[in-house]
Amino acid sequence: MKKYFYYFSVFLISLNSCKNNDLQIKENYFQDNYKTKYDNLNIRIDTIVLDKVESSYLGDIAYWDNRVYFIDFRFGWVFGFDLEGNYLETKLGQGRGPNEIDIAGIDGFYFSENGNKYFFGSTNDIHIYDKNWEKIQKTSMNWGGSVQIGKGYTVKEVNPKDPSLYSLDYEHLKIKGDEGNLYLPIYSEHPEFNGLVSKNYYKEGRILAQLNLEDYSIERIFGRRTDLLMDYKYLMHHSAFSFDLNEHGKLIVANEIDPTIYIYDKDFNLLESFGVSGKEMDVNYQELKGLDIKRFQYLYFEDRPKRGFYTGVKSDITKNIIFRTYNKNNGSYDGLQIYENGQLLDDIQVPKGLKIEYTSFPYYYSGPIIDELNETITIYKLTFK
Amino acid sequence: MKKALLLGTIIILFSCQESDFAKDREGFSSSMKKNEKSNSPSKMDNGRRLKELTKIEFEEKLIDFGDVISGDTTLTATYVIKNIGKNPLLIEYVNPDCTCSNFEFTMDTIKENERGLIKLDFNIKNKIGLNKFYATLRANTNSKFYKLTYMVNIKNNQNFN
Repeated sequence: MKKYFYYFSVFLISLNSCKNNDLQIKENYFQDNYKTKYDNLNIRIDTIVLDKVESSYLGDIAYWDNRVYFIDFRFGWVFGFDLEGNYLETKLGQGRGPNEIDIAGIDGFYFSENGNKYFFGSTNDIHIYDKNWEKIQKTSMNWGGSVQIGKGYTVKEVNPKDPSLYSLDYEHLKIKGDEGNLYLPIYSEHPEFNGLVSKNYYKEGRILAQLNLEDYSIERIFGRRTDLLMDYKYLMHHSAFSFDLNEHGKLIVANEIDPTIYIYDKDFNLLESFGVSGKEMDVNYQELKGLDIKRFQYLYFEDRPKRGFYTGVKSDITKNIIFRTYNKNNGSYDGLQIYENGQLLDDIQVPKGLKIEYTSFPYYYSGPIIDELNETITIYKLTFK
Repeated sequence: MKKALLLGTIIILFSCQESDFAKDREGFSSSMKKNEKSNSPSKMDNGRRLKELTKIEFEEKLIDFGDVISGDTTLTATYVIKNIGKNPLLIEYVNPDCTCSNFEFTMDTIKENERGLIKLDFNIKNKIGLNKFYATLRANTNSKFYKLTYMVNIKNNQNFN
């Protein structure tokens, strides 16, 4: 089920699009830009629809080596395209053959600089391939902790530092990495330490796990949620965050409900913070009073999309630029803030669901907008002019 | 484990129920495999492979239950497939994505012009709103995989506002 909710919500969105060599250019996508610093800042948004492939249209994309890859979570395929959306190749596919991936479903992935690819399954399994798509190994994460992984709910004495309490946050499993580690969002589902029953969860719960790529052990868990969550009884449906890891080893964190962007070192020491609220954001968040699964689902699936919240953050270290996207309480478009050296340059309207995921100045590429019914995968290319 | 969070089931409140699969199978290949989800495709495997490829036709790949009132109810989606090729058809495996799904599929070789079944169970207890679930099917056809979808909009008689 997991993050497919995201795709449910976007597959209904119909956006004008075009294909490959016939790119439809949408200059100033919505004519509502305002300039805060640069009068000449002008952003063009191109819509690129990836070539049709035989896919489940459930998945996500990775950018690597000037290509875009669609990772098919259900079928295990990895489809490669050039940056204009032209189909190039198909790799893997679910199965037990030498060039296949023996995984029930892909839940997360990471393409490293050296070409290694890491695919995560639902039972702490990791499937590693090299730059030529040769299988390196299939292994499992070693979480350490006081009890066996998967038995975290049996922990008698809750200690927020105990890795046993946590598991990967599959709903928001955007993985970042550096040379020797991967950083993965985590959450706790312990009966006494979770976002539906525990105030302390918001204060002390760790949000990231560092996975050592030498022995695939969880080296540490770290990070905290925004203090703003403490202003509510329970706000589990808005407790997510997005993050980026730049080439200087700094973590850039944007919490769903917090207008502030935080820059941390890898020990989660705060280095810098800045940010202003987006526009047209309904921040009248509805809190949970306690353990009420149905109300949680109502709030998550039906109320949350109507509220304003921050959806993604991406850093371009070469230009000291940070992008932050947010959900407006508007069914047609979202917001994109562009910061330079911590100062807001611009806040523009962008297509619904757009999040910046790949930077190559002057081009910036978005994550996928998947129309499951019509079987299309759309990405956006932003060009700074 | 992970799916528990998405649907707010941090504490295991869901109970899986087996539905009644004993329906009339006349006109269908008879041997059915009942199974539960696993983390490896091999665990849900028919255990057989056919080298020759054939063609498959689905009566439907998406089953929409529409609006259903919330409750401790198990819904069963039944998909009918037909071998429209010139070689025998074999469902190699079925892989549903919900831990609460029991499922069943035709294990026998499906001859030309014959039909087979895939049945998927889904309990809607404690679920609200639009829910969509998937299963992957692999067969000896040119397209290696197929996606089966079932969706339901679960209404609640409670007012959450």
